[in-house]
Amino acid sequence: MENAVEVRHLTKAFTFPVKDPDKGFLGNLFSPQSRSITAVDDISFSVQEGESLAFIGPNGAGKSTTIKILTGILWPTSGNVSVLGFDPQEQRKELALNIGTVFGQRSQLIFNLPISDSFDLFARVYEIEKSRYAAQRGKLVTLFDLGEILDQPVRKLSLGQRMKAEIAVALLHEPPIVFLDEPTIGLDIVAKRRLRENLKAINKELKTTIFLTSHDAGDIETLCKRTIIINHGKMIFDDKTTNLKRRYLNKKIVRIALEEKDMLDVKRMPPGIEILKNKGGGAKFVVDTSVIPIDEVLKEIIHGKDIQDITIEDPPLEEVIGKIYEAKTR
Amino acid sequence: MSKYLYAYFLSVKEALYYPKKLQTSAIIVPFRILMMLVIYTYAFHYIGRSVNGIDVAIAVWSIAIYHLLLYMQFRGVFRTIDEEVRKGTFELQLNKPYHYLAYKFWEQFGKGLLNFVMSAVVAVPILLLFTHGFPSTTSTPRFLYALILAAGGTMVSAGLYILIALPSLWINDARPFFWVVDKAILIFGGAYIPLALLPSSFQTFASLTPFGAPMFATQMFNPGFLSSWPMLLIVQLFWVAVFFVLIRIVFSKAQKRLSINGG
Repeated sequence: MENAVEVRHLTKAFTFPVKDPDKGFLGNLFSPQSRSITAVDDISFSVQEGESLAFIGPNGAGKSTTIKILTGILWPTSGNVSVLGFDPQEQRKELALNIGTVFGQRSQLIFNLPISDSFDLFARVYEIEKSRYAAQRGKLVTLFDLGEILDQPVRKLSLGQRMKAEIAVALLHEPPIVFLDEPTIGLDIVAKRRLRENLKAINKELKTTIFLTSHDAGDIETLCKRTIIINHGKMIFDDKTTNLKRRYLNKKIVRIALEEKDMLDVKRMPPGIEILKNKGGGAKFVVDTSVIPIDEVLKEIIHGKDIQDITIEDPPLEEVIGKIYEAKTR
Repeated sequence: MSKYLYAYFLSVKEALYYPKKLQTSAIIVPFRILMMLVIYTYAFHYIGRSVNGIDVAIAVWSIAIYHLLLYMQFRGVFRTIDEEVRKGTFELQLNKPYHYLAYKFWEQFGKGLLNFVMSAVVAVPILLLFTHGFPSTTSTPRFLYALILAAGGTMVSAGLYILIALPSLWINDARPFFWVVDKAILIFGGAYIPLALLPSSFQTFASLTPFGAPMFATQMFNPGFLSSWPMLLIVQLFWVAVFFVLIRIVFSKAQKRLSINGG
């Protein structure tokens, strides 16, 4: 299998002006000072065709900068990048015809017009033949369940509906690789789950390579077989997602709301559970899923209780990164 | 239909999708024209003669053409580029298989055309009514030459406004450039005082700089227009060529030093 993405010793530094409070207005105007930060610091990796890769990290880690270099938006300070055999900066247009991009926080749809117009525009922009366009559009409308909202102006859609449309138009020209930057940001649980299912389907059925950045561990667990973690511009983890899960994502934080004055029975707790809070009306505990599966925990300790609400969260990414550093220095 | 023409088509469609916005903008120009009509009727009545061959009808028609052509100018393209750079949507379009600036050009062209047509439909009958028909100097060749200069002026304004929008990639806010250029076009294009009524040094400056060039078509009713229009066209073509080269250089540099730190 060939590599869809090749990155060798990629570095990107940004320079920006900083004000020196001692210099005053004129001093800063005529001899401004600047500071440089290295957003991406000598990283190397490759992604195989058909692979689904999660490229994750906390805010300011350098993940979006990397994705922008890979898609030809930013120029690297040094290093070599190749996507589908193209140099993203020198062959920007050629590459653009072969990739799909979705930036979760910014829309590429025509805000005031129905989604169908965005489809038509993308068909022309990506030079798709009429017959191919009709077939692909039909397929995507079915896959992403867009039939009923196709004639609604984008500005009237919910965030979940918009994101589905964003991804659908990005796939219209059947790109061999799609870059998704935080595609589930701001979505509710149901919308997230549906979107993940859709993305999983396109990876499986169309063999589309998925390059995903996300803050959400759920995206990574569901979608990606491999995970790269980046922090302060440096790669600190590159392995199978199952290994990440086994080693660092094996803790789940469970919050339950019970009836007033009701509490969990601490004596009946099975091993692998650490209680963080257990007051009348609610409890919070950590489950080590390598010791006990989460469904068993729910069966075991919640049995016979009148549950008002329940949430299960992954540990914050910062905590996972902290553990990775800890493991490295051990 | 090419991708650029489709961008133009979508802009027209978007404008038609919200007809009330279009209707509102269509009454602005007639309102301005009526105000100018009142002022110039009074002024010329007070003077009691024409000035440099310009009478009330020529002055008001000239100003009306300025305000109608303003819709076909590319002021909006500055706002679009400047805003997209500040909001960060500019970068999204760099990974699309089209030239960002060409796309914005056609998009803006579509936005302006409907406003121009709608305003002209309302404004021209009002002008014909209040100035008792076209000005006395009107002729078919004048219309044709003015049409050519209007197209040239549109291209000059596109170049000028795109060029001053690009610094926003360095300084994040290029609005001060817009203010200077916009006001210069307002004065040297004849927004409220026809160029023929200004001192000769102003007229020379307006004829040679890119600030007067976008609105050369407003001179179509001036007595000397038939002999001066070829020179005006040459000036426009010169500026279009200059802007084309400058934009290519600046845009290519801007792309390379783009610094969007996105985390």
